[in-house]
Amino acid sequence: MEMTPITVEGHDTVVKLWAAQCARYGKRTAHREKELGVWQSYSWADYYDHAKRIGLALLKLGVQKGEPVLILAEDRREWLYCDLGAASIGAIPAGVYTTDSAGQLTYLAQDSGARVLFVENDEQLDKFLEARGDMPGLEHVVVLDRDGLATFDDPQVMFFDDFLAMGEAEAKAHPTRFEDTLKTVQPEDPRMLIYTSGTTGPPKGAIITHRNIMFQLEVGPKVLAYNEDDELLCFLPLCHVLERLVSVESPIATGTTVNFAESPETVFDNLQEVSPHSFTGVPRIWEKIYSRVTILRSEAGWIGGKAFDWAFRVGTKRATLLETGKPVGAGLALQHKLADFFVLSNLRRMLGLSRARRVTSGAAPISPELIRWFYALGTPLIEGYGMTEGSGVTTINLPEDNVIGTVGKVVPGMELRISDEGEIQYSGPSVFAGYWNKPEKTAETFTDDGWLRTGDVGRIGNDGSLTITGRIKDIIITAGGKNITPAEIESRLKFSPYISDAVVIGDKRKYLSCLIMIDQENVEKFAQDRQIPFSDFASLTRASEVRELIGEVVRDTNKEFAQVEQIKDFRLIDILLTAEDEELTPTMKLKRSFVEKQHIALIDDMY
Amino acid sequence: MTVLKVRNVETYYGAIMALRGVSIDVEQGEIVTILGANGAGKTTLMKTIAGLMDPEKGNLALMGNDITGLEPDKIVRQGLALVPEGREVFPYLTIDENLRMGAFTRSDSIADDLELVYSYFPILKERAKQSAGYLSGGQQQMLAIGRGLMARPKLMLLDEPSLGLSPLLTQEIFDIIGRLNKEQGVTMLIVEQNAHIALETAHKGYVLEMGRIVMAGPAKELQDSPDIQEFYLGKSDAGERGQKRWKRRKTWR
Repeated sequence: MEMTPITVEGHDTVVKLWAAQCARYGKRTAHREKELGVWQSYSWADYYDHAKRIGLALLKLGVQKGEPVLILAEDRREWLYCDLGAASIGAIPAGVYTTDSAGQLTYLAQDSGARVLFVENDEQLDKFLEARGDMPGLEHVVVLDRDGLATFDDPQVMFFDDFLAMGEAEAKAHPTRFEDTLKTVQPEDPRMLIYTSGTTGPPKGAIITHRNIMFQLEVGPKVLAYNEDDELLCFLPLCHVLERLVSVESPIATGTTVNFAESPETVFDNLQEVSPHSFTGVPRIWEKIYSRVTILRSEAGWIGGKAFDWAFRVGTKRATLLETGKPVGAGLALQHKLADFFVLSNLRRMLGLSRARRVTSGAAPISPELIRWFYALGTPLIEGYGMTEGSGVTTINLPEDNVIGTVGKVVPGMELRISDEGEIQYSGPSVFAGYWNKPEKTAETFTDDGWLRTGDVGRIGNDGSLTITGRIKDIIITAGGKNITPAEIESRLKFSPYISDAVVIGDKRKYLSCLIMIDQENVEKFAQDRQIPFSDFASLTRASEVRELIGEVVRDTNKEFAQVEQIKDFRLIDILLTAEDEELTPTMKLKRSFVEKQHIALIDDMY
Repeated sequence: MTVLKVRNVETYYGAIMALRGVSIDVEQGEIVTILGANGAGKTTLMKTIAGLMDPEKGNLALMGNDITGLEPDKIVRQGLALVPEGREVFPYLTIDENLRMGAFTRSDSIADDLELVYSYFPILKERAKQSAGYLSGGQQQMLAIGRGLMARPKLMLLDEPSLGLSPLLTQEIFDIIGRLNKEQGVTMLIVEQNAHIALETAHKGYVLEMGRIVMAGPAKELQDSPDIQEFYLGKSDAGERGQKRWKRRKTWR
């Protein structure tokens, strides 16, 4: 394979670019984080200085080039310090989800062969302590927060400040060691290891090289423009390729400021405080914003409600014209100005979207209706497509050319094709280097002629825009022999504010059925408003009115699908699932295989 | 027979929503306990049931009769007795007078009931002519319960009977509560911070958090729930370090 160098501002690795940008931006704010409720700023110089000490301390511990280093923490600036510190010495940072159990951590430690693990706090440290016997390869643990561990002492465990001091001493002894090592990192070297959530089988570590990322950084400005003084909000797990790209790699190239959300629970408050210029979320976030506004509407008084409905009617009319490329008449334009001034702009400000030039959605399919709703609100929402093995974004809509319902055109420099079986395949500089220590899995991921198999089914329109219809593995072949891709039905169901996720069942069955996870907040509100008695979550799912409500959504959904795609029966999942549950991915998507296994009784009940 | 039916009750303190849609059932002859941390809404629920506060939404029924929005005295006449938090005995009245106050709404003979109360709480008989203000905290609690019993209630509400009592006295009070239920068939709804003893005594329990029921079930089941054990019973797997500061995430199942 020929390797033409890919450079951004003359640098061919992420770490060289990063070092240069840190030097260039110096005291400018790189990150913001809340401490005791107040936003604090941290500069690019802090970024470099911390990462340097971490890199040197890792070298001191004997970490070699090409050796994975694990990071187990919520999103915070130290995550990035550890990430870049490790990458700069040629080690391979790999994130571990904070919701992972001790058992899952053990698997990652064994699979990666890492010797050093960064953990956020006592809670995460306990996972290591619980399972340390099963991961003898893990030699050192560095704890970021000392809270609750004042008297803790363990030969394998070190605290972050001591670790930094070790790096400082190393810097005094070998003043140029860090920079020298950083320069030896080659474009083909791994930049990071991303463990895929693995809906089937154990997680696999996808190796993403510097070249992969440099390609993403080089192509980035061609599709989505960022300004140096843009504010971003980071809240999705940094272990996931999407957030890593958006909040770590992209800001290195663009110089934007990253604000870290306090916790996954406070995202909406933080969104409002930061009011970012661009914001990347998963469909669940957009669905939540939509249902928040829907509830606000239902609680508004008569006049407020009327004004709201009118503004959205005007917004939708205008958005529809713009979407279909038709001119917006002067009358409608004037109406829209008023609607925007009195209603829509206020809503956007309340939501924290007032400064957003555009927002993006990825990692899961989003309903086209939802995208159109955001356009009506006045916030362009753009859907893109990619996967870990493609190191991020492969296709994306453009703000000025958004074909709603598709995931856009392939980014310049990549090639896309649909195989005879309908599988989406691609090739180009962002295709990953393979799975860590799993050559046979890597081989399975590529076609004979070297294209990446995505496992997704889709079609490419005449204009070049890609439409995803589902996963090959998820294709349901009913007992009648009909092929059905459940994703479209599921995403239509999820558009209801009362449904947070759904899994369509029907493989080798007579007809389709569905397991539904209700949205706790909205369904509780529904029950409360209608005096439907319930005590806990399980009793809520059992209330006949709630079942009737969801039945209504299912019936409405059925109207939009063909005869063979009709959902004949459904059940509600009666436990409130959390990110710790195996049935959910860290981005709160239901995992089909686990759901089918865990709730087999509910499924069998329907046949 | 369902003695108390609470349906989707929402109660406010001004703009603050203290109960966010609570539904509970108390069956004849049952002891039902409501667990919850400070500020969960336990006392608000009690006050709403007793009619001291009116719900914004939802309804309540005692022995099948709607009592939503009724004045407290009307609810008491329908067979509800509240043993309030902090006992609230009449300090300048004698014990005997306090107990008779409990039977204020009755016009039949109360001599048997007085005897019954004295048989359960002999100390009250000994000091029957003393002012209630001179009683110890535990004795005042006994008096408050006795006063509640004097109304021959269909349902007795007990708000934090263990408040301010020593562990030994708490045990004693709850033993008597258990006996009253078993021997006299008194139906009770108990709000309690001491989850351990409440679940030992009760048949059924609800967990109230932030004004919502997050868990409901037979007391035995609640006792076995990992969340209840960690957050209400104080049992915690100390782990490898022998100490643990962080709490697991609650799932309530």
